[in-house]
Amino acid sequence: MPDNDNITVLLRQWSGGNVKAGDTLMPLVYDELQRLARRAWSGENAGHTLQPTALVHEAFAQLVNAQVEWQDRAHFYALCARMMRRLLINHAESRRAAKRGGGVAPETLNDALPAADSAFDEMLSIDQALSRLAAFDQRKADLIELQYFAGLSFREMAEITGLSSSTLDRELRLARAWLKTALGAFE
Amino acid sequence: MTPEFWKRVEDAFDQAVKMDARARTNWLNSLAGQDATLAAQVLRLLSADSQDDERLHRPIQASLHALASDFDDPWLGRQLGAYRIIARIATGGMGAVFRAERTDAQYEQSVAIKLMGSHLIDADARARFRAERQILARMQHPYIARMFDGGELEDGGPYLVMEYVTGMPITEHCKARTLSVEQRLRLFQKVCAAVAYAHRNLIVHRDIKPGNILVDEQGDPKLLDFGIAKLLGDSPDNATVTVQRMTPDYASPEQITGQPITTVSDVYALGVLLYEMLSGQRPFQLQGLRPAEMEQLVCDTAPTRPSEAAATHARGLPRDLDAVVLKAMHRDPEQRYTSVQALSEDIHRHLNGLPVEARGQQWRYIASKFVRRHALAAGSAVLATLLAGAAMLYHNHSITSERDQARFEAERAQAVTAFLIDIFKQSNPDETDGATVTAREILDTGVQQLKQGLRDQPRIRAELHHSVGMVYSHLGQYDQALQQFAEVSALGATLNDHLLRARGLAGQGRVQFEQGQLAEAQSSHQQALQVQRAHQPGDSPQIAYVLNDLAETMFAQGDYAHADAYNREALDILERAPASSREYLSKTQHDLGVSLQIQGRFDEAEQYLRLALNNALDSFGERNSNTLAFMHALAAMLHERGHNKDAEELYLRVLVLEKDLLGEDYIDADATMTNLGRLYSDMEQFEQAEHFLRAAVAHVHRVRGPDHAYTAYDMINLANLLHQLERPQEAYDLAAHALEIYSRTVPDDHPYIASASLTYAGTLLDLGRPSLAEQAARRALDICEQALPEGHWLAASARSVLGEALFLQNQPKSAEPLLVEAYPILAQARPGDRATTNALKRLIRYYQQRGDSERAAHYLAELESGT
Repeated sequence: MPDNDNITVLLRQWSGGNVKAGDTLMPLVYDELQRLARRAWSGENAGHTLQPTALVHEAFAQLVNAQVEWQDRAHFYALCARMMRRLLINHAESRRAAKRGGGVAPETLNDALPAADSAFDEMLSIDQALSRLAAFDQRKADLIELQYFAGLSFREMAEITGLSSSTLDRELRLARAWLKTALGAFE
Repeated sequence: MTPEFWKRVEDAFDQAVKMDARARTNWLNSLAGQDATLAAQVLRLLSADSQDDERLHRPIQASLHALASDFDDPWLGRQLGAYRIIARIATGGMGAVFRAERTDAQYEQSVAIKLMGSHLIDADARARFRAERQILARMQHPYIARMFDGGELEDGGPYLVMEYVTGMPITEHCKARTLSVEQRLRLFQKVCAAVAYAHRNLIVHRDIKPGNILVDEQGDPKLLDFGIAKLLGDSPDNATVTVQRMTPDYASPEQITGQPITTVSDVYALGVLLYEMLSGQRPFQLQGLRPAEMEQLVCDTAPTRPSEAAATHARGLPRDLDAVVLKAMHRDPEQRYTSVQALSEDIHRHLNGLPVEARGQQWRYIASKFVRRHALAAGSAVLATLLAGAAMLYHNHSITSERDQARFEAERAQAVTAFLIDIFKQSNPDETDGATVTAREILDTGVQQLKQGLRDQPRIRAELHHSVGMVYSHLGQYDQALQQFAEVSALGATLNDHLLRARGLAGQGRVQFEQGQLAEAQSSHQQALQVQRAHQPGDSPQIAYVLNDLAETMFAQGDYAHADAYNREALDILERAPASSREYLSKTQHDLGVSLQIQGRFDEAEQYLRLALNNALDSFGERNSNTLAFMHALAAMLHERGHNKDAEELYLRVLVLEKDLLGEDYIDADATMTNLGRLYSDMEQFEQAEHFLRAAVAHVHRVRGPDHAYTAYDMINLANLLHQLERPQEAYDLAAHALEIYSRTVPDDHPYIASASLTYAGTLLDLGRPSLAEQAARRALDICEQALPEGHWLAASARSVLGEALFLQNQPKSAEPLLVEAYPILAQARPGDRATTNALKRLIRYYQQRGDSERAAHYLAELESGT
């Protein structure tokens, strides 16, 4: 378990513009989210529906000193959202690759795969659409990331982004609509 | 999406969501009047907005569940150098493959890390491994997965860091996308490009198989694991490990027997790959066999031809491709393509409708594929109709009395029946453990039994060898066919049955001819003839058959004098022979006619072509493919002689019969239409000419697609006509398009490009663009000088156009010699042709404008005397 104060310092440095601090933070957050996800499944919380929001808030509680400034908090959640997205994508891609052989003869694959294939494919489509959105409207892509990958509530988002709720609502609404068209069901 | 447009979308969307439904509809309608794209985009977004967000929410939720429920893997999260392991992709006997990410980079870069068990590699090998890794890391090719890095674990087990590739194994990709044969070939060529690149860098893959070739979303292949097999298997005691670890189905005979491995071992594996891509089957199923059994199967058995093995999608796979695949995977490395490049080029030839190298110099075949397309360059479409050989019906004259004959026939029938029953028994599932047996396997089994059985009936055995030889020959398995015929002539010698021996020799000659071994074929036929002459009456039809075969061999070698002499001798016999040899009579007449036409002896040529056609009509009627071929040959001959009316009548008949006999989609129907269109053009019936030339373009476009050399070829014929009709803009568009197709479908120095460039140059002259015309004419001339014999009329035509282009650009000194040299060559080779008249007119214009009225008048007189 990484040192909380240390992480809080890194977070402050990063939101102050220190890129290197962000690079150090990323794997920490990534690992923590993965650890929490596994733990959540393996024991204590079994039976509960696993939600991104629960993981992200737990990660915050585990990693960060609760007394941080709101800017640092905003940065932390943005980082969590990004890492959660990467975690899920990595996992989905590797499972999908495993299914397809991934360069190795299929008979050497070591386990049977659950029936989540279509979910993986859809997830990867969402990821790609989101990257396309980011290419011409980074802010909306960031907001979507916060909403879906960090699972933040509307109020939390308003709080940490500092946007007015009407602006936030408009931006999210358009972003979601665009994503859905990009996913292709509304031609 | 540009930010500017997106901003407008955003504003419009925000406005629209505030309105009620009715106001929104009106507003959108008026927006559509100003900017339809914008309105459509907003409408789509509004429609999406009204749907729920389940599809954004649910997959993320489900993926998180799947992630959480995954088992723990001790490797996950481990750091190797600058990489952290993210996920396990696969585990196998040689180690494991993981997906990993660089941890020191802000951007995401996925890599694949291959760990090799330390037990697979000793200290010596480790040093070699390091050196080899450096070489592999230098390979950079778009279709080869990069090797970035490597290192060693604490226990000494090496690992490699490679580009992470997602995609499907190539064979699955072909199936999933239901690629056409052509698409499969083009994909395969990309694989060849990658392997050829590696070979240029002296790296042999050694383990090419579908699982090592993944195809990405764009349809591009990536080759994995280049040189890895060598890294692991270089030391001598590792040889067997290598084979065992490899997918044995793709291992070459030299790999299985532990012989040296070279670049042509990869050619073999590529052959197996192409086999599987085309037929859906592997040539040999080796999984589970013991090494000795593998060796026997791969080294001693000829694989079933892909077209026979093919699943339904590839029904009717061309024989060319069989030949290409089987040449690539020939068990003898020296018989394979000498390089991957050569393999790929042969496929290129096939894709462009050119004869493949793999089928050797099979003369009839080359003629049938080539010549009807060479009408422009060769000045004759006649050879198109060179015939497929007819099956030969020998009568066994060594048996003298009719009663003997009858008894022999009865015995033979019994023996053949027994033989067939016996070998078909092999395909009874009870006797083969349920494995499917192909026709060819049945045949192979039969041959085995023939070796042992029928000892006391050598004559019948010889008959069976002969029949089996014919079957192998039809199957294109010439080596086996040759053995069978050799057996026949050997039995003939043993039995002192001379004519049997001659039959065997003649059979060998025909197979050698098919293999393109013309000298050997000639010698076999000459021996057969010698034996026949010594022991058979001089007027036996069998002698004539061999004479015609011999003539064919001489013709293919360009020795027309001997070819004609042998055919005339054959005709002497056949004209007096019984009706049963009619087929040979007409074929021999046709062959002689074609040879005479090539030599410019038109009267005689026409006479024989007519005889051939009439005999065929008498014997087989006009609804017969041989008759049709003779008809086409005669039509082309008549056209060449200027007997246009007669040619027209015949061509029209051919067109009707082709449609009737061979169907609407008959693949070469455009050749007949184009020939007819050119005939009408010469007859100055331009409306008909345009009609048929356009019909040809439409047909070829339909049956061969927009990207085929023949499509371009027919377009150029149409362009020539339109140019002649003084519609240069249309002609220009067609020629430009055709050249563009050629640039993708034939080599840069192909004669097709020369004649297309020349057409293109001509249209540019008429459009007032002499400098562009000059470029195009120079290109045409360059190709002519490289690819055609010296003094060819096409080169002369290019010189004339080039001269005109230079003259129009005020370079009279350079123009004059070109114009002057070009004309006499054209006048000699193409009297009355439009190209010739144009060259003459250019000369006249040149001298008129230079004020040289004397020379102008001289050429003017020539023009007037000609018309």
